[in-house]
Amino acid sequence: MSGKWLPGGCSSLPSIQWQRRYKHSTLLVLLSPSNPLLSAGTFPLAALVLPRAYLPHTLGFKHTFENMWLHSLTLCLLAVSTRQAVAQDNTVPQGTTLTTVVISEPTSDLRADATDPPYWLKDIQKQGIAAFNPNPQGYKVFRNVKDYGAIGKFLAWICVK
Amino acid sequence: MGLTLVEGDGVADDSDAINRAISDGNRCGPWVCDSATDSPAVVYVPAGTYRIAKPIIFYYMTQLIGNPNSRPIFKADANLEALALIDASPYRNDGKPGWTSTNLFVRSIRNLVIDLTARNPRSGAQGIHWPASQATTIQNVQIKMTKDANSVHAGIFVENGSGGHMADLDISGGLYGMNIGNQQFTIRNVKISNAVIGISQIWNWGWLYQGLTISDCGTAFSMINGGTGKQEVGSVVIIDSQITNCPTFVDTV
Repeated sequence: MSGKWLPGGCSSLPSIQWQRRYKHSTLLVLLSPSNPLLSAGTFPLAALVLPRAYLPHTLGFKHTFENMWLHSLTLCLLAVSTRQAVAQDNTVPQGTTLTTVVISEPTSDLRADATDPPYWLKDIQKQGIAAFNPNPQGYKVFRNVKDYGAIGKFLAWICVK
Repeated sequence: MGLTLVEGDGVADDSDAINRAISDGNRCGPWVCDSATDSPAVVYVPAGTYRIAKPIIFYYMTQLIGNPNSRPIFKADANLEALALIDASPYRNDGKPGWTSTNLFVRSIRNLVIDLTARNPRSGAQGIHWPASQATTIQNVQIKMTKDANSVHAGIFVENGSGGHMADLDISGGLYGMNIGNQQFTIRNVKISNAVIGISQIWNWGWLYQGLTISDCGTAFSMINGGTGKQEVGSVVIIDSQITNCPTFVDTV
């Protein structure tokens, strides 16, 4: 999850391991070993419940790089202020408010990525190399466009200045 | 600097990111590299709708593969000005193609939906430009275009090459479902509907079609190019096919 195209010197992005959309909220499970927003504690994995209305454009913000820091800041404050509210069970009822945060070890259920169905090609362990490439150990044969910044219609993290 | 959450649909142009995924790793790109088999790439596209405002440019030995259990959608931006949304061999301003068409090897597209309906049907748009040769395939791809009697769109455009294989395509709308010419090709299980002309055979030596399903087109299959003086189409075989509600099945010179 790193690359020279990342602006502003960010070296890694958290990945959305799992998400589920509810009527009024979206539950995101983020795997973010080096995410400054979430890794201050000892939790390798965090789940944030965001109201659908949080999405920046629904608050009237334009999607510009200039105002993205606002959303980062909001998320950061959310994560810190609600880290206390640790719940052990991962069920999230409808109407869960912004103050709910679930932090737990990942379970097999949470590892599933609800946005992209299983497919053997992406799911198998990648252990082949391009043997005749000048840099066979560093050269990536398999690439996921989302690792290069493609977003698709689903929620995603981007790194901004 | 920070990390932020965005929703991509209609917000971010995904074409640069997809092109980065294709070109990363000092690979064999158009005009500057004749061929290479030591830098192969499998470019995976998860489910989702990707806004495409610039053409996706293929590099040598690229397999572009979506999730077949929820095919990703490449949605053309209304302002996409390009020969095609996916271009296997782009033309430079001086007319030079990315590669000689008979050297367009080892490329494939699988499990994808291409949606051109945001483009004005009277403004140019094509799903895939594929002047391909051996070891190439397009499979399990749907291409959506607006139905319009004056459309200038085409689902797949092939003007040259020495292919090749395509199968399991579903194309709707446009002027041409496919506007294709190549030395030889094998094509099977292709469904085309609501195009002005289902398949326009620009030229060929020999071309096998098995399992065409063409419906609601003005002409299902046209091979009039060159007229009586210089017929451009060598031979066409169409078997196991169904043509429905197209006033003309085959238009010959």
